[in-house]
Amino acid sequence: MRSGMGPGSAALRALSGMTSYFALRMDTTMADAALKPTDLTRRSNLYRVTSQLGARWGEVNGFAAPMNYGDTAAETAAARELAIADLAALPRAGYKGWDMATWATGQGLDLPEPNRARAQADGTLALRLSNGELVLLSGDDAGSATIDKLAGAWTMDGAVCFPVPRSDTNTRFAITGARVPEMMAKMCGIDLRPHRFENHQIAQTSVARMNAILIRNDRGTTYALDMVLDSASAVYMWECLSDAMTEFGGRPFGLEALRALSA
Amino acid sequence: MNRNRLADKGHFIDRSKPLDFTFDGKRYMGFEGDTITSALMANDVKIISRSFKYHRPRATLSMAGHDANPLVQVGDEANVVADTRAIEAGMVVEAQNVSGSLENDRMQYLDKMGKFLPVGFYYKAFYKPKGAWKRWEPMIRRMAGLGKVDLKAHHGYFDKQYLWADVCVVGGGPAGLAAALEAAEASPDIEVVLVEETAHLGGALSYARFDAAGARADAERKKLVEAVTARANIRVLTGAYCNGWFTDHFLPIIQGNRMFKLRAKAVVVATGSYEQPLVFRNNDLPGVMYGSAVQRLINRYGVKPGSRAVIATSNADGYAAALDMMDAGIEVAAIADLNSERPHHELADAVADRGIPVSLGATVYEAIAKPHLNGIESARIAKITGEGRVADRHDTFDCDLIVSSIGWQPAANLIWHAGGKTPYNDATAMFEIGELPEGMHAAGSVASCFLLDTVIEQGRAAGWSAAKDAGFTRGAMPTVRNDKGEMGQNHPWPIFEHEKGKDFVDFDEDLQIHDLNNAVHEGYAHIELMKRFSTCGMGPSQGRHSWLNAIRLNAKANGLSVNEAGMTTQRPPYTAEKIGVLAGRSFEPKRFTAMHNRHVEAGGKMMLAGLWYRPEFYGDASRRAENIREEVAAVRGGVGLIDVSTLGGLELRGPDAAEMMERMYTWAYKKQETGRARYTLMTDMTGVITDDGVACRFGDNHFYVTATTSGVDGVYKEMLFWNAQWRLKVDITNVTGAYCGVNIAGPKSREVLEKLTDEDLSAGAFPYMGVRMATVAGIPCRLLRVGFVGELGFEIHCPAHSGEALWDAIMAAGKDHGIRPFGVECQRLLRLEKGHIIVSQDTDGLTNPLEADMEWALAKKRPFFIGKRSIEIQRDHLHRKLVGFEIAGENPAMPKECHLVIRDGEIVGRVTSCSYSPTLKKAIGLAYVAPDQAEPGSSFEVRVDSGTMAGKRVKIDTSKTVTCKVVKLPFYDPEGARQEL
Repeated sequence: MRSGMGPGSAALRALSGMTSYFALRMDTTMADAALKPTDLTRRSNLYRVTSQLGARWGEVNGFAAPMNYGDTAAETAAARELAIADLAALPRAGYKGWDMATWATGQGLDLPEPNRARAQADGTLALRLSNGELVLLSGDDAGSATIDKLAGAWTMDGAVCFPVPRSDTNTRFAITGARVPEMMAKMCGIDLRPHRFENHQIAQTSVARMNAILIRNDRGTTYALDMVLDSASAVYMWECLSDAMTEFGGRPFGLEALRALSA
Repeated sequence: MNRNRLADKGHFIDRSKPLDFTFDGKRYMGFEGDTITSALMANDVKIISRSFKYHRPRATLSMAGHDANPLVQVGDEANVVADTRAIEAGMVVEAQNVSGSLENDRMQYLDKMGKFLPVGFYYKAFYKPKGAWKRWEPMIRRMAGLGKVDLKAHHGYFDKQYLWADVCVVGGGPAGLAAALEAAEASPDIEVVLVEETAHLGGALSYARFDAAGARADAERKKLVEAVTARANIRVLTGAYCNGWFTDHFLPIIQGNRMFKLRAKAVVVATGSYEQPLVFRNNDLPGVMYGSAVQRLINRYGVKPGSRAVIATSNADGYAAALDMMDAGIEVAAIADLNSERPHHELADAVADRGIPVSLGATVYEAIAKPHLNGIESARIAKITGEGRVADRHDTFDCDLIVSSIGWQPAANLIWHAGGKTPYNDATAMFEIGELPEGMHAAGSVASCFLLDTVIEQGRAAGWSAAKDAGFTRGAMPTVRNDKGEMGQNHPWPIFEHEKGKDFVDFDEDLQIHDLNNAVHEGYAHIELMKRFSTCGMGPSQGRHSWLNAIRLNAKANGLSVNEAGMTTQRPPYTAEKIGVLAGRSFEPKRFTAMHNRHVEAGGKMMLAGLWYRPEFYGDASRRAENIREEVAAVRGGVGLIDVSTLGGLELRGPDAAEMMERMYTWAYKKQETGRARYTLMTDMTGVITDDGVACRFGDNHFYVTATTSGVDGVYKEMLFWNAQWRLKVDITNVTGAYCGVNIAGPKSREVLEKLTDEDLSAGAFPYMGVRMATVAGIPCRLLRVGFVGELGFEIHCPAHSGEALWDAIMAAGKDHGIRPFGVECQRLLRLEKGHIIVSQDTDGLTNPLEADMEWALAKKRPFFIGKRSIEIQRDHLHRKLVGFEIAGENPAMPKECHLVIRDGEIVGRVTSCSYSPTLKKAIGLAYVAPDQAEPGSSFEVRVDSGTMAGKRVKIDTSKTVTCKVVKLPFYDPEGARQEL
């Protein structure tokens, strides 16, 4: 067997999205005025859009991520009403297979019931899409010991579930603020109002005629949705959301403001 | 200057906010809260429109838009309902269907020609001789019509929004307000949505009179509205109309440019009723209107619609209108009560106290028009002598206003949409609600309830029941008194035919009594036929003011009861809606590869492939052919790079992965070595080719399979479908979006790629059809030595978020080698030279692998793959075969895709691909031909242009056929030496 192709090899794990090919680290990056998205090999599909919106960049997980758009305090205030953030840079992973639950639980994962999410001790959010399908989203600090641990533990030999390259198949937005349910009602048939859609509830649904996974994931006391969607449709979905947000005064915001919501 | 404005009436308008607008070029002033009609009538404008057929002058009839009279043009918006559209500063309003001016319409002579234009005259007069209609139609359309659509109008912004409620109450009148309150009181958790068509809650309480003093309506309105607005769990949508009922209480509610899509658990229909016209000669003149219209003008807008009125009534509403008119300073010259007995209610007593003469058992049977029909000069009242008959003797009263109140028709559209029935009650002379669908309740005048106390109680009961249906119960169901006040509300025959006609039943379509009778007499007797022949009820108001009397006339003409005559089917929408509202905010999903912007920056002309955008070619569109040829030359002679990210990708992993592959695809995979790729061909149960691609084996239990851009979702679905039955230990994951792909191809491709990786790319170490993991430009990749274009090449698949960086790195590394990006068209030509098919271009919905000459891709020893049995059955029944062909000559006539292969006048096949090959310097293509034409060296004829079918045979113009010669595939590099370098 050739080097680099064996089951459980680092290269295969990387390609399967189990872990990033840049070392994960707890990220405390602030905006770096000199950084450009094209300085790095991993690029959000949205970087041109967010650049035009005035994004200031910080390196996160091998990406240049929008840390702010010039005024973190204003963004934080806006995020309590209605705002959207590109979280493409935050680590994601997935596992799918006939006995995923046994394997993941065996790795110490606190697994929720289907269509629910559960925060792990390190802030990673475990989404159970079905009996046999799991998605892991890192916390807003971009670190995830859980993702690392599962990536290190998985091997092809005797596998009962398999990595799904969620890092690249999907991208992730955070849509926050009290006006989110009303805005989302223009694009999605699910009733996302806070008294109907509980925190950590999941909707696998259609948004603007595209498949999307919506997770209610409040930041502090602020209502928030995480949207996991097709990465190739990121620009389309961002445009749809931006248009829908206009009447409510929504705006983009950066990672710094997102983290401030939970502080 | 508002000469008809009342000082102390009009709670809808804000006199502190005057607004200027124009109507037919003249400037007028109204107030915020005015509608176009109310503002025009306040300014003493008598005529608002011209009628559809006869161009008779018209003005408001219902002051509620229940007829076509108030349709006007506002800017580029046609058919605006002036009765209900609020004025805005600077609004430009114009009359519709006018030739010349509104006051002096050149087409008004048509009114004199009515006897020559009977119902159905279109069908009889203008269709003969054959072709005549084409000449007549434009003329008729100029003469009769509605507003003008501005085809250059800007696109408005419309959108849709979902809405959820436990209970939806449609109608914000007393019944609706009471229903919403009762439902909301069932629990703090219940969610109620209240939908009101006008800008204000209150319904009849905002204009009607329920007591002699005229105080009760206002008091009840304030009390109910305050209570409703104080409830946090009632969401009020004003200026919104519910335009239909759909299964499971799915309700489209239109408010401005937005359509709410509301799903409710229960619905209360409190939509009220439409007042109905009295039919008499000249009942369409400006100044003839319903009692409710007069009350709306006076009480809502403070507008005095006339100075001297004659009233015809058969119920209490007419007397209430008389009192309101007198309070507004309008002289009531006479009241004709169609009933022969004096009414016993406080409103009639109050009228008597004010000394107004009442003629019992009498009706207005003719309005005498002013010159040019521009208003009323007087009204003629006569005693009723029988059904629809009056005495010869009459009294004439000078007046400028004739007001009728003779009955109501339930606004039961939503109930009808839901399948509810409304049988006609001969005793009350009205359609009454029968059994309602589950979860639907009705209250108020739509449910034949006209006494205010009962209306409110009925609303409460309906709200309680709806809340119960939604799962909320509080206390016992409110009681409702028995007396609904429906007796005597409708006169059974308010139709008085005049020998001179102009007794209109349907104002929208200018239909008179004799028109409907003639339709029946001509054989269009059934109500559905009469409707269509006469067009009664088919105008903008959809029968709201005409259908009750039309059914009565139909029943009488046929000797049937009204119930036997029946009703026509009512379907959504309830009222006119804009196509923009239906279209809403259009969502057209798009997918962009990570390199999309690099293509655009390089001058790529993007085309759609499914939802994806792909570069068709690069460069100036005016040099399309040259650009494609140059791209071909770059690949054949140097190096080119194409984005293949849109190709599908599937992971099959698990101990049964190889077994799954062998069942899903036609070839053999269990013995495929790790690190090797193999072609895949998929067929369905009938043996038809559905997709193809490449299977890369990365481990004993791991296949990475590519699929076509448009086929991958179907392939994935098929795999999941079959494995749901087979239960093989294999996981199938669609990773199309996870990987970007590029194909670097051409004799210099290895040199370029070697700059970016440490891998040994030599033919010995990495042979054709080899696959491996590698790092390219620091990016982890899957490297595939496969080629679609017939040159040395490498397909590189990398994580999608690194796709642009990979593209950048390869383009930079290839710069010194003249690397050139190439597009889809170049790739198609290159693969044609190589003889590769494209599934769905060179195959169709019936193509099996034997027809496509792909027997080499069929596993012969395996007992099963999907489609195998069907393919074997078809082996002896082949009717066509896919072959390669070439055309001799310098500039041959080029067949196009789908041009037909003809033999002896019969179609035997078609061309699937054809192009001029700059490499081979001749035209080449693929085509289906008869099996006996498939041998290399054979020739066949293709019809390249005109030609006609006669039965099954084709008439051939031999100057339009091309002779094609069958050749062995591939056209280019038959030994495959170039791709295996």
